[in-house]
Amino acid sequence: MGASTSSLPAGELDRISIESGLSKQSVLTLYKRFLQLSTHRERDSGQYFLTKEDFLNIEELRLNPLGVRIIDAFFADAEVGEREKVYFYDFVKVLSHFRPINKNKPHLWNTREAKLRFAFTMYDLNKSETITKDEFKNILQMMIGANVSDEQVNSIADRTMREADKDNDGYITFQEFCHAMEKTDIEQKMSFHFLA
Amino acid sequence: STIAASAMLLQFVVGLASLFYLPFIFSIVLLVIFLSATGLTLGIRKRIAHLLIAIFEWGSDVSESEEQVSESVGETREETAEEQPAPIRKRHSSSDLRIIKREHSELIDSKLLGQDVLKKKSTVSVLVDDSLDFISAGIESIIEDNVTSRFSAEQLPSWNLLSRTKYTFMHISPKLTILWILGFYFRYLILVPIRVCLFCVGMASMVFITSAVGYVPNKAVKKWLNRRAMLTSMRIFSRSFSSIVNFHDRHNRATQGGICVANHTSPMDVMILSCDNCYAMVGQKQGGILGFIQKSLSKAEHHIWFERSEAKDRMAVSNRMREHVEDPTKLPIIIFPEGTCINNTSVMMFKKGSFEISETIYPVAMKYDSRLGDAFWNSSKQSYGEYMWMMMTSWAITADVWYLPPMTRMEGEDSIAFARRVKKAIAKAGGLVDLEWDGALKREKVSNKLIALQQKLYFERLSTRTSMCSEITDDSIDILKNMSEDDRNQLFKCLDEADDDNAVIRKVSEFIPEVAALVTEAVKAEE
Repeated sequence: MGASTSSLPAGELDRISIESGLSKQSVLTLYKRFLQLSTHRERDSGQYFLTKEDFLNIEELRLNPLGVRIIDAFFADAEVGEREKVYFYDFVKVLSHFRPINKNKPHLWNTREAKLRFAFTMYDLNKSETITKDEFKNILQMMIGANVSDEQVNSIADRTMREADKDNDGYITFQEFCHAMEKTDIEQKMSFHFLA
Repeated sequence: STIAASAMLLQFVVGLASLFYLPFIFSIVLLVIFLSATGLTLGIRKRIAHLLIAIFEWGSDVSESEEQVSESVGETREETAEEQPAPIRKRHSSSDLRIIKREHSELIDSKLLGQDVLKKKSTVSVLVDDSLDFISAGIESIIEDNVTSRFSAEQLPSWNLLSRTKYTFMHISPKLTILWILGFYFRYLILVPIRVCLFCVGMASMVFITSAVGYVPNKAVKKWLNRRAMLTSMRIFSRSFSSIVNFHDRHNRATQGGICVANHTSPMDVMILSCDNCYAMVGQKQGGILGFIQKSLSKAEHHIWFERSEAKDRMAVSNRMREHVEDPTKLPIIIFPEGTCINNTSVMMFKKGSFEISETIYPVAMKYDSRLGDAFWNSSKQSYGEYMWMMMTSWAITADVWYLPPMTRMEGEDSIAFARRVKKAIAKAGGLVDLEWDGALKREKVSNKLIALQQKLYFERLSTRTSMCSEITDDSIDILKNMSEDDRNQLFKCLDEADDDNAVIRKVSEFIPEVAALVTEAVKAEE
């Protein structure tokens, strides 16, 4: 019966639950899902891992205009990117950004800043810690496709840079990004209630 | 001490059993044969099913209370930031995520289909907002997506004492373990032998009686005999898996030929449907035992068995089926247009081939209740033999069958639209989710066309909601919306994919005078 019979060792479960702030049930649910998606297994340690193809197997993710970016986010960490394998720990780390914020039990991985940082890396393609106009145009084009002419994309990108770039240096830094998103309810947009 | 008690109990039971065992089994088999032949039922299976379900719920309550005790000692309960409405008292087990509320994906869908109300905002804030929503929807689909989850077996709210449906994280108390042991012995020592006997009897009766019936010269008598033989055999089969089937709306059954269409969950679908009505089966000619069975069946009645080479020729297949369907003396055909077994929470895309053969279709909806045994066959994970054994060692197979009134193809409706309409009706009757996904998708990739469509929808949304395009197009879109459906269709027929903005505006203004007025106004403003 394959993957469904393997389970997370109890020590791992505790460690991940504490580090991510997720409840044990949530971690197990994610583990089940992880096993469902994974098609590869490490030969020596027996650990399962995900590759880019595994993510691309999810049809809805492929349909999503920002799908490729989202997948990249899982490989954003330098180590993960190098080995090109997402282990369960890495999987949980990214997904725990989307845990709802609990004011009584703040956690490093799902603060408002952490969520904003995640959004920032969606835009910042080359991980330069700044968003340039071209990077913004990139995202725009992914969402709209070939339906809009280049000039229009350009003008929208210009407008955006003007609004967000306070010191007019042509780059949007993380602080400027946070400032621009002040009015947006990030907690509501980037949280899943079922990830407790 | 619990282990010692269980051992003593076992010895007692074994002693008793060996005395009465064989006579007991044989008498049950005889009783079943009698009931199947006459079409009566004692309702024993239903009563046992109720009892079992009551036991399961008691069992899960027991272990839940024990779990709560151990948890509150170990951890502090987490309060989430927002108030969640108190759920029905189900266990907070990790497997409850069978269909999570896809909030973010639903938000995106409603945005794309223009169903949300949004004040005109600046392009930038809309774009950034939307990009965040896309991101969240994408992450949501990583956690659960509609396609992958349809192909793995459905999750249960309480454990049904079958180790095959055990959760990876569940508190197993001693009470539950004893229950499980008792259940195990009951299933393997009492149920399985009875079932295996019944299966053999059913198989023998089906094959030999139909072969014998084949020699009867009188057509009417032959038909009647075949019907009795098949119904009896199928009922014996269904009892051999302890299937409890409820048939609804039996007045809609197909009686005079025609095509029946149903959703597919397991290889036993045909058996279950055949308990109530005789169908002509369709399939590929097999070798070996299966081939022998096919030949015997064909002696008494007309079934459609295709050679492997014939099966590839779609024209030949549909012609043969059409011939059969148009002959009122032949039995109705049963077809499963999804093409593969789905896990019975939804209905996937129906292939249009079956809908091209006849104008009238008799839809049938089937819904299995997986509490006593999951009938879903995941062909990529289990072989056929394994699957049959699993079925024999489950508690029971519970199913509901709804016969829907016959549906006819409407004027000008093409096969795809007809198939979709039938699928909707079946999904609605069975309480299943109606999905547009293709069952073959679980093996193939999505085309770029769908991605392009998604992008186009998003663009359309932006152009109506933001200040991105010129004023003219905004207002004319409003006018377009207020047009009658017929006028709009006519207008779209005039427009061409290759037209640029100016050409579109020109054509639209020719068609609608109000737009022409707008155009002249805008031209004046620019000057």
